[in-house]
Amino acid sequence: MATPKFPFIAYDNRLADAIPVASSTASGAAINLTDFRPYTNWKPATLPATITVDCGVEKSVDYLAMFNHDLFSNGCAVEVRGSTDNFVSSNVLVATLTPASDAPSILNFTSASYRYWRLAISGTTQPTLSIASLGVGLEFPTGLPYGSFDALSRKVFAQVNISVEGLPLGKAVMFEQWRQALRFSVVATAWIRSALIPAWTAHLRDKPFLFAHDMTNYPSEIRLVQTDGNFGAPSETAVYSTLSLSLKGLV
Amino acid sequence: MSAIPTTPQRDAALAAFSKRPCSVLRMEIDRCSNTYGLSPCTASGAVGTECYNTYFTCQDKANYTKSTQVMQFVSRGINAPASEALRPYLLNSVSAPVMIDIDEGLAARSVVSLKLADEPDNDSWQDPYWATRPTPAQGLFWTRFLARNKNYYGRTAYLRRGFVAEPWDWGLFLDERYIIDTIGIESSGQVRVVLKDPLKLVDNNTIPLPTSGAIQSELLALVLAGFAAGGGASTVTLPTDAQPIDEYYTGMEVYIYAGVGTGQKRVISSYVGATRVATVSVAWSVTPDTSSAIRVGQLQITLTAGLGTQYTNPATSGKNEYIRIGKEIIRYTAISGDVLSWPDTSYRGQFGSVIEDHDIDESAQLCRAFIDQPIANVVTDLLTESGIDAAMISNDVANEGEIWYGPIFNITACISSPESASKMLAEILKQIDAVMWWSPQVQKVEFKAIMPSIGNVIALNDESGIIQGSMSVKTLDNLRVTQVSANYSLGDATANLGEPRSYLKTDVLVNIDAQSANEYGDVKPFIINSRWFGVQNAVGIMAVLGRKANRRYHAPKLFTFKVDPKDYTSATGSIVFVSSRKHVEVDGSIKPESCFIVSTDDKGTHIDMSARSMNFSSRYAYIAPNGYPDYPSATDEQRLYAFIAGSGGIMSDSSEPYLII
Repeated sequence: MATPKFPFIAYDNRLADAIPVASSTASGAAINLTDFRPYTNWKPATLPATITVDCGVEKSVDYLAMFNHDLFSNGCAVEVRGSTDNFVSSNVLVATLTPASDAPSILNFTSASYRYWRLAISGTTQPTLSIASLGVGLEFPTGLPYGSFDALSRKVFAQVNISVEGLPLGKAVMFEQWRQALRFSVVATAWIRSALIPAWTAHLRDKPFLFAHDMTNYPSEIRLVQTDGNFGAPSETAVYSTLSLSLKGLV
Repeated sequence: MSAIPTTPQRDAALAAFSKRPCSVLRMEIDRCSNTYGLSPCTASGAVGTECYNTYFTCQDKANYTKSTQVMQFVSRGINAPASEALRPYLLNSVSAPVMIDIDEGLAARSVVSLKLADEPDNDSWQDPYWATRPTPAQGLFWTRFLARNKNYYGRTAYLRRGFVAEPWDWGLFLDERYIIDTIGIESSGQVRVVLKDPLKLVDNNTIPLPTSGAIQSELLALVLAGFAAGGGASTVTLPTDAQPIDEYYTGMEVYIYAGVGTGQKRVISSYVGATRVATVSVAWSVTPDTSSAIRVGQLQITLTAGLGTQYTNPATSGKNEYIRIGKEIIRYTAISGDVLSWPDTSYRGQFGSVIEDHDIDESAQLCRAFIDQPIANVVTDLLTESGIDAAMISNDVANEGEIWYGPIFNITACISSPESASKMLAEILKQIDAVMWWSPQVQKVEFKAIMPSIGNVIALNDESGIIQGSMSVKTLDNLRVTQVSANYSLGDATANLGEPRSYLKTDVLVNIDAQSANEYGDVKPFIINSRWFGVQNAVGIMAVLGRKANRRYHAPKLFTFKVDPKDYTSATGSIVFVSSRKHVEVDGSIKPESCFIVSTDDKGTHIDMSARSMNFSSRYAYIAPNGYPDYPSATDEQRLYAFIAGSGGIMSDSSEPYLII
């Protein structure tokens, strides 16, 4: 097993810096890709298709996340492109995502900075996308300790029907939930101040986000989660704290 | 009785042990299909001030082009695929499903109350011009929706109940069809959407429609009467008290009711006041003389200017049309502008009403009459005229009507004032021992005579069907009757329907045994007052009374229980065979009971079901189909069909024989 990547949160989104402009639209709207709602979507009318945003100033990007999409089923790939002049003469390929399935995916790449960012989608059939996030990822400075973190747990909400004579008749599963109380030891308090709290205030406290516990070894285990609105960071030493954070999402 | 629609994949899902239930609310809301400012839309507001493509925000209503926008909301907790536009706003649903009361005719209308979440969103779904608005949309999704859409009442909605699968498959869903009743914001901020079944339209609409025309001159019971002062081949000289005004009687009828020329009727084509000589339009067959007793009557009325359009034109309806003025019903045969006319004076005083004088400005109310119409036609007309699409009426209305209600139930009646269609339907159904209800699953108005049924009968028992702890058995003592009676043949269609003396005929059946001191020892009457049936229906009325008396001799049982979705194969109105240890024979053995499913409610995890015992006092049924075993080997379900009794007149197990009717 490769060295695990530290837990990664995808929330920062260049596509939300301004109203994204789609080359064409068959249904939904490109702005729906930015709301972290898996039930609002955008589908282009023709391929290739682009979504372009003018961030106003040069801004960095080091990941692309896609959630609830059918890119693979429709034989599509997504390029991340940057430009300094709204793609008049400057059009730089930064990264390419070629999904191997319709599962959620996060592509992490070397950071680049441009004012204009674009997703360019190519393929055979127009895909439908629900969440697309293109920004700077929040990677925890330390891993989750073995023994306490459980990436695989499920809580099943269901009803089992039994006949008068005790025979099983059927089972109705309402939904499955993944819920974890994350606990990181020896986290630099400075990182909490400089990275986590700004992210918390900007997004994590109130909105859903994508959480990957180990993108290296389990790249498809990406959950759309929410916090319960709290985190704790009691100090261990002068420079380190213990960070706790509760997440829950559907499986 | 229509079967619940299904698909192979839904059948497979129902049969599977584990399922993942899911509900989707689908609403079909009005939307304009135009694009703002593009032909045919002539609106010309500045960018950012466009409408929202709804009627109430339309800036060019003359060119509003109605189309439909589909909005779908799925249960919370369901991850729908990106390709399905399903918002997970549906928090819960509470149903008051259709509840058939066998003895009330028209079932209680179903109500589904859904709670949905509200939230801010970017408005791109609902506002086609969101991208060019000067400021982002404010407020929440539903509050904005309600501000822009006021005309949601009566629009079609579906509650789609099914199962989640990957890939998503709408074939796993069973669509229940309703109309939207209300949408409101609750104190919690959540949204309450109330759906009702389309029979709600029958509650709201009246038949006939109210009309507001008033007669513009007196309409007299008799304009003139007396002996003719003379006659010619095409003339008659009116009595001396006739009006000395030229053309005063023109257009009226002169009728010889005694003396020479008795029985002749003619329309007066001209009248000379000075000589009192009326010329008739067609020459007399027998020329009247001074022994001829005549009556002159009016043949038309003029209504308030411009209101003639409220009245049905018999030429286009193809039916007999009637109006009621005061307490008199008049058949009219033609409309010309605001003038309603009839060919002779026998068209007055219809349906037992009395010909009387009417003053200027008395209202003329349109009536709705049925002349010798089969039950199915009357029921269908009442439904369609109250707003139910004919395509939403089950073929069972015609089929069962033909099987169980022949010409002896044909209806001749006149409704002389606007009444709720549902009230009239309930009356008819109750009086013919039939029930009607809206089946959300079949998406049709269903009709069933309370008679034996054929078709697949499902059996539910303690072992493999009824969910533990869910069965209750209630004895409906209040429904037992010891005598039934019918007052029918209404003397005057305008009479008080609640007064037994308004009816010319009464039939009574008394169950002496039931009333005896040794049995129930009480008198529990059931009375029908029927404006729908006359003396020509006496045989049918007696048959219904007999069936009611037999069926309600002993109190029926109401079984209430839950079943797993695997057993959700029969809709409300189907026959089910219930076997429960809570309902036994006198020796304590389980008594299988043939029941009528009166209510089903799909809860996703299970089905709430209510079934009422059929209580047929005699074993009458369809003859068993070819291939069935002999009676001793037949199952209880097979014995719902008729078998031939032994020569002793009883079945091999000593039970009573079947009747063939």
